[in-house]
Amino acid sequence: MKGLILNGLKKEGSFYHEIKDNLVKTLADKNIKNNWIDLVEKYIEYCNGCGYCNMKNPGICAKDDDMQEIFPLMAKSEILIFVSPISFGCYNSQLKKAIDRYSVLGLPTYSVYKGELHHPTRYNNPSYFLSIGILNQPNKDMEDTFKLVSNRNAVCFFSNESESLIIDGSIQDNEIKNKISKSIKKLGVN
Amino acid sequence: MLKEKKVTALLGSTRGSKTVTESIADYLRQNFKNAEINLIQYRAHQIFQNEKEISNLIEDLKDSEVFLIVSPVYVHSLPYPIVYLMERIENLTNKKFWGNKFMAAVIHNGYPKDIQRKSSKEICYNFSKKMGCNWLGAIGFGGSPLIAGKPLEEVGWFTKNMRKSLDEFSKNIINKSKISSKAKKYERKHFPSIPLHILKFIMNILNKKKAKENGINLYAQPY
Repeated sequence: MKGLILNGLKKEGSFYHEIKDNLVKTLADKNIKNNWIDLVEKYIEYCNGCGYCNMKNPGICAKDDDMQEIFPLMAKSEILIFVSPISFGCYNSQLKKAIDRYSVLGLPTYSVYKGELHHPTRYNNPSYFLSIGILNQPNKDMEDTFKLVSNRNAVCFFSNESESLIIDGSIQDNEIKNKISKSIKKLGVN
Repeated sequence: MLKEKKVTALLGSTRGSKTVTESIADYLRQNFKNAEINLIQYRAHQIFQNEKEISNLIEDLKDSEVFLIVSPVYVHSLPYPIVYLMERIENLTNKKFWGNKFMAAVIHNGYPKDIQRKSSKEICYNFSKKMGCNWLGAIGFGGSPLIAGKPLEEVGWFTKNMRKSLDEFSKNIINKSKISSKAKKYERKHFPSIPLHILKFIMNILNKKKAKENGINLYAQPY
């Protein structure tokens, strides 16, 4: 099984090393080959909705940037994980820039899924979706919105299982390992 | 009534000028103009990489009583340039800056159900709350491809309830009052109740026809 982690955290920021070390190890212990990508080190342009990937050259993005390396990984990963500080309930802009390019991995056709109209996925992945959001301090509104955004993404990705984990400044470093481990377990990844 | 005759709007579409975002902003501009209020607009994707333009936005916000976000939904939340600018605005302003200001949002996308716009509305609300701004509310509309950047009046029956909702929304903004149940009522009536499988069938026929004409494979898997 393959996993891809798109990280919007800064390396010098809170929890970067604790999350990276524990997440990568937890996945490796389950024999999941995983790629951790620090988006801050990548050159990624924003989606300008040109429609090239949609009806001009389906599945191909016209932009020649580092997303060209990331798209194949996203297409082949059964587990997709987003890690990000929470910006007003959303992922931060660093991660959002990459997520906005997702339409390359969706079909331009429509299907009815969970009682809603959606674009089906081009590659039947990811089966499992996990989002990890970081807050400086607990904030119910932002936590609820982050869970909603994550849940909406799981529906959009047609993932079979999804989880959302929020870590705030009150957490002890040694609790992070348990929380990550529990989230992966809840996803049902074997 | 607004004391400062100015509303500053941040537009979220990254596509250019012929967009549904602009159709909505143009419609609101006319409503505000009728009340002698000036709508100043900034296209997020044109300004987010330009420090001078970001400063101009902050200057305009300084003497506006209302900050408006008009935006499409990209992958179930606001587009990147809007999120980026929210982060920048948070760093460049303080609670004192926002204390006497009001904020509202209009969110749109192609999908019929409101749940597919809900998270974007909530992000705007969270921004407003975090800044210490007075939140007036948000409305949202599906069916963007049917509008396709045309003036809302020209689209005809499809935007009838949308325009009524935006008319109420404009009155609420002008009076600095919460977005009314009337605006919400027309928002709910906007998208005609067509069974989703019929909608899906029609949309797929149109897309497949277009793909055949252009000789493209919709289901290509280049990776």
